[in-house]
Amino acid sequence: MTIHTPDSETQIYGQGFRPYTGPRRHPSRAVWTLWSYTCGRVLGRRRRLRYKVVPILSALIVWGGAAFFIIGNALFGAFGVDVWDFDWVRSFYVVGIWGTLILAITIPSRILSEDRSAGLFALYMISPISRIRYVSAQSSAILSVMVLLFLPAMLVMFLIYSLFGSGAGGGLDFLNFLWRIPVGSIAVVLVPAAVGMVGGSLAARGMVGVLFTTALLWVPTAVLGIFTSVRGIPEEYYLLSPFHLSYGMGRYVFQNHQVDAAGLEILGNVSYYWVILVGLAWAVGGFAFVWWVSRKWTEG
Amino acid sequence: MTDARAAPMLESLGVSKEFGDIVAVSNVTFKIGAGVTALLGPNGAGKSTLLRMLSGLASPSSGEVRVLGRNLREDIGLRRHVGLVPQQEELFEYMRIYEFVRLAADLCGIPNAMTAAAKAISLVGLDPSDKRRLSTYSKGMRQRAKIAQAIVHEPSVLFLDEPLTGLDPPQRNRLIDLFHVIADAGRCVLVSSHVLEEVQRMGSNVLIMGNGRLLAEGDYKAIRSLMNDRPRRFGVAVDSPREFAASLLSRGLVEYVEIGPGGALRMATQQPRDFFSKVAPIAQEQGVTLSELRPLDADLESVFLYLLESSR
Repeated sequence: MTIHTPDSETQIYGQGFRPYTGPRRHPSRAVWTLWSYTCGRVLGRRRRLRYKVVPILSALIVWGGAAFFIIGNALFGAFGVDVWDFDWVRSFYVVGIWGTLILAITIPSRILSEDRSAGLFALYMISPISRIRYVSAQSSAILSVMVLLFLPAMLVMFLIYSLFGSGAGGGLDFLNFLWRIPVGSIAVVLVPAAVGMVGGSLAARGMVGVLFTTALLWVPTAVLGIFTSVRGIPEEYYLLSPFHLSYGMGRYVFQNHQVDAAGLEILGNVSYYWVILVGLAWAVGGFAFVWWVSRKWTEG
Repeated sequence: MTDARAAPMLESLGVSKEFGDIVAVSNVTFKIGAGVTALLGPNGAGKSTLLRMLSGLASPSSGEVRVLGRNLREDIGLRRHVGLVPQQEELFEYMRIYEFVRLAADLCGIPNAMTAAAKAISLVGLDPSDKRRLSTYSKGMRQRAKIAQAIVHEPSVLFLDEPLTGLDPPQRNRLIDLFHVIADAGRCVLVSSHVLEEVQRMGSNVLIMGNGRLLAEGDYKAIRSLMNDRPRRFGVAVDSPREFAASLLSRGLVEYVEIGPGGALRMATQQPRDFFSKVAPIAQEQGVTLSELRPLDADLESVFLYLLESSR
């Protein structure tokens, strides 16, 4: 006699369609779902290894840079100098920006192009997500991952330097530096994230989006470079290009500020207020552009 | 069966869509209620564009779409009650079925998304524990994954754009049954297709489109009976075909008669009521045995082709 026992492949299908009459979460919850899902995509979660390469590389650059400069300072005994004016920290800051730029150039382009080509955008639009919610969730997810990449490294550096007598002089001074770290991290990643999303929104393929993003980041720099060399405009106007804005906005928050004769904080000949204003204009304009251009993605 | 007058769940009110000089959908008006309704039309008829507008993905150039009495594009919360199976084939390649369907459930605010996803995947005959990525799925499996995604939040209005493409006959049967089960639960199911056989099996309620216009709406058998400009064709089997054909022609009851192999008669008449009431008495009068009388163009295909011809 044979006794049949269910194996792992045995299933009972067709359990019937019963209308769901229970509660549904508030529509705004969909934004949170999209945010958390996009954070996973930025990090290449549940994807093949090649999708994890860029986030890992970015983390290695940022954290490797931080470790390099901390160990370098320990070995060369340079602790005790003002942390924010110290060249080692400034050097790390540039390295950190490059780490986040790599992420900004590649990941938003891939995510936005995938959303369009793989039909995810239509899936979102049929759920309680408007275009503005879509842009908000995607941009804040990309920003969050970039900030979380940059922020802890800066924080660790700051704490170690403070521990060894650099930077913060007392309780209030410590707090004064502490708030600058999250705000400065956001300032660093804001423009690259917006530019990356604009690049991604212009292309249906990730690699084309990367090219657009690269062009958006460096063509204005080149144009401003030509103007400064041909027209004699001060070199600090470089800061108004997206690439340098990322650097300048973060530096505005992190660094002790210089003040000009009129009392305005300056970097060379460019007022920091202009740097912040132009940087915010790039960021807001970039996100608004993605929102505007996405209206065509489902129109067919 | 759709009863739009009792409770229209989906209303298209003079909806048009233009792309530059091209009018993709022109002034389409209809109301449908719970039940399965087939949106039928040849390729390029404007079905997918209309479905995109109905599901809120695209905005009409003019007119208005109302789902459950409200505007889907303005009422974000209403979107939790709508599902869509898009026509697009290359979808969500990197996801696993469970992740894909669960994401849809999460987006639509189902509290227990894991259970809902597993149930929807089982309903379409797939395995919720399947670890393969969707890129490794066959065309039919991907279609079913899309359907699972669309029904996971048990929407009140379900749009399906060519949902049976790539499915083998048993899978088609299963899904057509599922559409009926969903409709029987009081849902409005709108299925677009250009495969007549599929549509006929989904039910008799149709919206027929051609050249961007709505050509007909309702039960296709009723639509056929309204088409007075077309002669009705019948197949008749009798034991003396030539004599019987001559008799019908001499009485002016039919326009023409064809005698096929084995004496099978095919004829067309402009007076179907007269024809039906007189054909049996005439056979009796002539001593002819009438063994078969069947309509040849009352099926959906004939209705569809007639409507398309007249729209050109």
